[in-house]
Amino acid sequence: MRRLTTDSSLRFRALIVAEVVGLAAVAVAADRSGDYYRYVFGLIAVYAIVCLGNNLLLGHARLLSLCQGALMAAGAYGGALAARAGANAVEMLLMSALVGAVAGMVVGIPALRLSGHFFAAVTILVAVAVPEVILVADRVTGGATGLSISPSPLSDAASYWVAYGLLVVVLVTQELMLRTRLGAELHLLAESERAAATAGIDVARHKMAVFIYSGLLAGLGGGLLAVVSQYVVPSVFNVFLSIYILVAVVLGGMNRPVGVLFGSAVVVFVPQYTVDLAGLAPFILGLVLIASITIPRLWRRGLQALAVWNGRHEVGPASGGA
Amino acid sequence: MSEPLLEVRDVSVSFGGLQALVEFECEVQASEIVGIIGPNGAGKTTLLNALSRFVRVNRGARIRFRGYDLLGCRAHKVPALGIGRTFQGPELSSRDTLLDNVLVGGYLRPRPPWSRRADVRAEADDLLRAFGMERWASLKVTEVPYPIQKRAQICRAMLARPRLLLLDEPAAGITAEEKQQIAEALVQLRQRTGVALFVIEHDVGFLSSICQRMIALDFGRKIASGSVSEVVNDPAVRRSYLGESDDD
Repeated sequence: MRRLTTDSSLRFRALIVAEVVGLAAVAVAADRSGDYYRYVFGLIAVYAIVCLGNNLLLGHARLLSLCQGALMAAGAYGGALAARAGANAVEMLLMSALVGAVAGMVVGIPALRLSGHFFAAVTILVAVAVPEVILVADRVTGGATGLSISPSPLSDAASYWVAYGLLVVVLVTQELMLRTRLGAELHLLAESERAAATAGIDVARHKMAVFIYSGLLAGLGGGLLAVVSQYVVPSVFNVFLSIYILVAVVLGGMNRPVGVLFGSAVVVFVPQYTVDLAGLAPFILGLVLIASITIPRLWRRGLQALAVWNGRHEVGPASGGA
Repeated sequence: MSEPLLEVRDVSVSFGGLQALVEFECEVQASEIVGIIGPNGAGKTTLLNALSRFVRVNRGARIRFRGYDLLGCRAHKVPALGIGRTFQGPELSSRDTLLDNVLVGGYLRPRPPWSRRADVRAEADDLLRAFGMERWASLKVTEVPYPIQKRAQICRAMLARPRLLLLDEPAAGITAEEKQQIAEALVQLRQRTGVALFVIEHDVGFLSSICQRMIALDFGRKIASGSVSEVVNDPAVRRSYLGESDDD
């Protein structure tokens, strides 16, 4: 059911068309710019799919999860094992998404009983534990050497276009989802769980559904990553991956789905351009995150201070305020 | 006499050692407006929270609403039975418009396939107009004054077409004119829809202008109930709430 909004549906349709056309243009341009850019932009698409899941979770339901990287790992290993067992590309990606969703549910059942920072803390534990579990379960996962998927079920070019195709589908779906009553319901429960309950919203079920959705997209992204790199190793899915996904969503504004495209691009490009500064990428991304939060505030405060100062000098007695 | 809309029997709520509500009993008839008064900490909001199933009540308590056992429901099922609710603060989604927030109440309604979205929308507009807030409808909640935000909760709850509406201090912190506007709107709502109201309020004047009956609470216990004048003139109420000594 569509939500009755004061938002014009014409503007919304124009926005969707603009997003799809823009995304297609970027995908084609990157494809024409050589193997390197195709690889990097393919990576951006994969991140963006994962981040879209986190966008609904953090941006709209206000649930801070730091284990999206671990859910990606679940999807990547699920897909890789399926591919090694002879699954084709579609089966493999379905498997990744399914394993991601189930992993989301398994984490969500205990973690969602906690709220706020406690929920976030449990998800950090998951993010730290999963790479270790992969190492320990080396009979299945190949341990530190990982699993190779060759021949890959998809060629490089094909996986690139599959990633962009899926990104468009997920992006448009989320835009539409937020236009339904779900958007308003999530916003209400993010603000006040008891008000949501008095509006007839089953808070626990809604939170679980969103978490499973984010797990599904993380799993799908993990599967795509496995296809693109033809290899899965536990070191990729460390805590920083989860933090990068969080940073991308925050940079994207935690609101419109399209914002995560920008956030994902930053999160992919920064490590690419700081390879020489070995190990500094997390530091730089941390600075970017802090700057993105403080600069707009300082800017606003600066303007206010200026206005107050200006008022004092021109009007006389301190007339300024907040 | 027919079965009451709401029947509360022997309900106690305690938080650790603190008895917030002690063996509370009351009945609310259909379309009745009942006011609850009492000093801060008397258990008024706890009573609403018990009816909303937000807090645990004692064993042996009984709350029946339209014949259903309310204590057998989880919190989010209560509104579907026909109990709406507002809070002391405006608990709205600050990212959406006022109208979108009100419309959330409409999702609760069973929607037969032939019903139209536009009908719900028109009803929301009517409600906003009744409470004098139609010009705020398309603004983001954060751009709307606090009393208007609070009132939007009443519209949200009413859009679900409840049989009983629980109001937690609807007239706190607003001007006398606004109080009168809300009082009139509430009385009209009751006439038009037959909804019963259960109103917590400190302003006895406001309550006496709309209520048929009043209940006074202190330290979790019901200390008086009856008509407005009976309760207001009750010596125990005057002592505990209106701040008068026996010598007066």
